[in-house]
Amino acid sequence: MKNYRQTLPVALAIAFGLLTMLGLLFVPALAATMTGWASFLAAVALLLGVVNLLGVHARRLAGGNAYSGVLIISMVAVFVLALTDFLGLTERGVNTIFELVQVPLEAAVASLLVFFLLFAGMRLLRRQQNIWAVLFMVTVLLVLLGRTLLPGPLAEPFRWVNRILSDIVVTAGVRGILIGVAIGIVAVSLRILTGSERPYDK
Amino acid sequence: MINCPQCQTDNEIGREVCISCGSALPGLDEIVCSNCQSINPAYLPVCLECGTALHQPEEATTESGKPGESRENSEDQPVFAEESDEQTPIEDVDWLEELKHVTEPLDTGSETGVEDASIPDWVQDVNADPEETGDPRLLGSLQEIEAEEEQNEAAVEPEALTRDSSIVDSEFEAGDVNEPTQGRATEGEATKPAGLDPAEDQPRLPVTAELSRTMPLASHHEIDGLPEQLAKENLPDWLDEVDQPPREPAVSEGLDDAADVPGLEELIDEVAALGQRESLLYDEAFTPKSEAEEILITDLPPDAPDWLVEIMDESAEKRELEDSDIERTEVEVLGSQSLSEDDDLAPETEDEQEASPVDEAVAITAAVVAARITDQRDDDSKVIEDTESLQEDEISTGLPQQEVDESLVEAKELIAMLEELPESEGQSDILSPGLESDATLTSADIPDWLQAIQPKDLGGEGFDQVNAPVEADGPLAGLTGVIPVTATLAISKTRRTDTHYQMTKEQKQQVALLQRLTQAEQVETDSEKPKGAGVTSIQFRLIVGTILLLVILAGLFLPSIEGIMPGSANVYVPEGAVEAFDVTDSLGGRPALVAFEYTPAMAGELDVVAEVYLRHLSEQNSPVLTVSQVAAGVPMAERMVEQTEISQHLALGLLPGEATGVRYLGTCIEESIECDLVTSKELDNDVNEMLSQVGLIIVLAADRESLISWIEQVGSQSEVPIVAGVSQAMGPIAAPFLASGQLVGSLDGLPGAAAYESNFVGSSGVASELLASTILAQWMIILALAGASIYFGMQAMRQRTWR
Repeated sequence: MKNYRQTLPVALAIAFGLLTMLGLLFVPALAATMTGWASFLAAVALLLGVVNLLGVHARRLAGGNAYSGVLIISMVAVFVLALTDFLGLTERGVNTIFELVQVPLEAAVASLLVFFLLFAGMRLLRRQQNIWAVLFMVTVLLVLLGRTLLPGPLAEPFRWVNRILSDIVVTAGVRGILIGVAIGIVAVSLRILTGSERPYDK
Repeated sequence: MINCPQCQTDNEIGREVCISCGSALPGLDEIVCSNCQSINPAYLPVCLECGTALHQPEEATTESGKPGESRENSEDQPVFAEESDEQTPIEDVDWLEELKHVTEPLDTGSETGVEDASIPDWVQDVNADPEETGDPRLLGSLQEIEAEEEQNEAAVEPEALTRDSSIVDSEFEAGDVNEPTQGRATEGEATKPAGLDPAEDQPRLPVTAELSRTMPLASHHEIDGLPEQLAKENLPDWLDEVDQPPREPAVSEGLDDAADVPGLEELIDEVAALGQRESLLYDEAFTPKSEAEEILITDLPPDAPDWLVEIMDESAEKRELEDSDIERTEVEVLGSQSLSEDDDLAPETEDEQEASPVDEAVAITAAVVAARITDQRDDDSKVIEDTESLQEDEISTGLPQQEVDESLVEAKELIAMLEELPESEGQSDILSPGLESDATLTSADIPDWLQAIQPKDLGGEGFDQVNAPVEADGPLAGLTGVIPVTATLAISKTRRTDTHYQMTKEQKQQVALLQRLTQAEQVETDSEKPKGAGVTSIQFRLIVGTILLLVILAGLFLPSIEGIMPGSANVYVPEGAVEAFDVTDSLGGRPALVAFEYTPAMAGELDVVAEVYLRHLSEQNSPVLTVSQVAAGVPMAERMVEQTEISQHLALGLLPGEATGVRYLGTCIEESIECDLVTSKELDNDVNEMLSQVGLIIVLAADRESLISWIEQVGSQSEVPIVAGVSQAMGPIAAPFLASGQLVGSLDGLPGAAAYESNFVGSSGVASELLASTILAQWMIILALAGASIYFGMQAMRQRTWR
């Protein structure tokens, strides 16, 4: 029984991986079917996740966690509004809550980012007085000066420097990262197809 | 020593509970009830528990002159040396005085090494020199003993002396303060035979007296292994009457004139030999065997009857089989005492001649029957037969047959009644306290499962359960093998590790990195002390933050970029913004698929980009299909569609499955494949047709994964151009795809939107208005960082802290 429970998922993963890969190469309709199933299963998993989240926080609420109570109340309220929107009892109820609560809160938190970045840069200069801190600060100043509004004679040199940095240094670094990620994905895919990697068994 | 009333274990004077069983021990001013074994104050006449008389009436002994003639007398007196101690009431002096006849002159407390202060008065009275006390009765007894000893000393054979001395020693090896009063012989008299030698005519305690004590004690203390109280509750009334003392005097009275019955002495000798056998069985079971004892067991007189030889053979076989089944009862021990003194049965003194031989015979018979009951249930019938044969063969000398028959019938009924009792009840409970320290007992086999749950404090090798330290105080005082509380609490509990939550290698690396960062942060915090009396760090932050906020707000009130730096300034146009405009502008009314892959946190930057795209699409009357991989993206899409007044809009909703869902949606864009279900919604033909006609994909992303998913999963299988609208921070990420052509165009934040807007609607758009505030904030940040760099650089140069 134990062997059966271990080998069956591996066999299924290898089989469907090969089928999908063959579909992508030769039978696009088969690949589309496979990805459609995967998309549907992802939707079911999302629903299960919502139910599980509700259950977990219900238990935590029973243990006296007030924040879980806030989460459950919010979840139930949005669900009720979505239901009333669906039944025509209300109009744009969910969007109203979203615009009045979530959008301002997230935007306010994100707007603090500019202050954090500024203080972090100044703090860096005070604590790490070495060549690397100077290099970092010089780069920041060059990029900012190259992307901001400057008088005509001053703008061109900084934009040239900014373009050099972006096209050579940044692009090269990002491409290196992307290529590394792609190689990692290929390696993981091979490991899954050979049964060495079992992300479904964790 | 204080003798425990429950398990008969000797305990040191002053101990409150028994060292063996933990029972409460009587004090010096307390007395133990002979009936229920409860402890009562010495001044009480009767037991508080059962009402039994605690003190023996003086007239019972003074009138009769022999303790065995009164049942109360026999009940209240201890029978064995082990049972008598300094707590024995003063009324027991008579009994001790009688014991004195069979032993020796009393030892004083000083001779035994016991302090006089620890000896009760009654013991001192007993131990006192009769010549000093002037007690004529004691003086007479002492003189008789001395005279008889002188006469018999020469007639004692050495072997018998040795043999009997071992018996005496074994019988009195558990001596206490009262031992001298009972039988501890002096050095010159230690070899005095205890009595199997018929030639020995040493004065002994009359057998009648001992047997008369035997029966009540045998019945009251223990009946077939059951405590007396329990036995009384279960036994019928007629059985209680068996122990009643009036019956014995009735027999004696009827047989007083038959003292010279021929053959009665032989009968008594044989019965005594039988009792001796029982005693020796016990001795063999509980003491190491010796050659002398073996001789005693097997050395029967040649004229012994056949039934006695059979009993001896059976006993020998049983002795070989098992020793632990032999129970030591008071009856047995007394039987051994009495039978060891069978040579004293012949009346020598005038007082002893007054004892009725028939009475003695009946008492011995009852004692033997009781001993047989407690020793071996299976042989009860044989004992009765033996007893009957004794009656028929030996006591056919004109005795009152009716009285003898009554005793035998009652004995039979007693046996039958006891056989009906549960065999396991009581026996082990009574025997275990006294036997647990016996070395001859074989240790029980403890099951493995029980051994496994034994505490480590008691299960280690070398741990001696018997000789373990005794608890000195507390509620467990007197008990051995008590687990120390501190050791129990100090045992470290093994934390159970759930393999399901074992850390992976990556998680361990992350934990190590976090620990290093935390430690580094701690060091930096310690070194972050304010230097000098200038502005503190918090005040500096407040000042800089306030200036930055004011600059941003001021930029919002400026009309446009020209308001900041009119005329001579060029707006920065990100790379790809122009290409994005061109592709969108060439769409020609075909549908566009817009993916909103950002949350409200990035709405301040990406909403502007989305608005620019949507307005351009609206200008071209292109239908718009919106979709999102994040839940918050769906309402963000609806919100932006409403703001831009898109006339033709189809919301596909949430797209689950991340890259897989995007891949599946990309297949639906292809004309050759029709999708029935996308984002959990059924797609009709109109929607499928609209998907197949999509001419532009616009990805509004705030994170790398979402952007790459669209580029890799959709752009690789479709010829539909993809343009991006990302934040300025995502610009470098999108730059490689833009350079490779996977992205046709890209708008990076507000500068890109402003550049797109300047080409589309001129410089008066929303992006241009917000860009002024952004530019002012950028200048403020540049100045702050530059000033901080100069200030801290110079400080480092002054303090020579440059590294």
